[in-house]
Amino acid sequence: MDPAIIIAVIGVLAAPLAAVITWTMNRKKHIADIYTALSESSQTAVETMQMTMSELRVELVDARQKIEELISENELLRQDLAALKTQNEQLMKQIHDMRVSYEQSQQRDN
Amino acid sequence: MSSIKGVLRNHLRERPFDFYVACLIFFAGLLSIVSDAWPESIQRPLAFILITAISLYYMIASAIVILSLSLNRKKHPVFALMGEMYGWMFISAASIATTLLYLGFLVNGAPQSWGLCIILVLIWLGLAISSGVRFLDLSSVYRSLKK
Repeated sequence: MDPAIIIAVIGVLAAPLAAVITWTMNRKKHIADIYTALSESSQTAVETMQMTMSELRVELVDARQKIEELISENELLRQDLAALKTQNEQLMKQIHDMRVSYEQSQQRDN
Repeated sequence: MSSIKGVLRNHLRERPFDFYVACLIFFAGLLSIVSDAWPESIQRPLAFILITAISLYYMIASAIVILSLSLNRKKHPVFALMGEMYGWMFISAASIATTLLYLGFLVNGAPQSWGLCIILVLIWLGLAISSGVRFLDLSSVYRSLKK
């Protein structure tokens, strides 16, 4: 086998070992960095969640007020509708009376 | 027991092909230690030592990758990241070394089968590139954590 290939293979195999040895020598610092970053990111995530929850709470209060306004408007409209229904019944009765009187007058003329 | 099952299931769902490839690499390393005829019939003792070292790299690195994929990441965040990252780095280096050895067989020696040897070169080269990309991806995650 070509010596150049053997040297290249040994070099390639030595590279990750060197990286791991370097990392192991500074292991404590790297582990501390990772834990700090993870705790910071989780804290930021909690704060973001809290902000989102408070915004959602405000929006829910607004939505509840709007729903209550709509319910009161609906109640008013229902009352108006009942009044209109009564008026309609009275008008129908008047029309019926007028028709009866018209027929009676027509019979009398005949 | 149910929690271990749940963790395994979650990580298998996240990266099933990583797990599968790591298992395949582990068995490939085991086979190259057990079998004299695979990857090739070796005549020189130095090449035998190199192939044994590469096989050990494959087995240890794939075992670390399998372990880091199986562990609960919340309980062991450092090992989950660093184990997977260095596992893929070792697999990438061993694949490059295997590719170089096969190229050596192709250039100097007479392989048992040329076609099979070329296909194996392509397979190991693909593994080297893909595991290298995975290593670079994880190292960028590690760098972003360090900032």
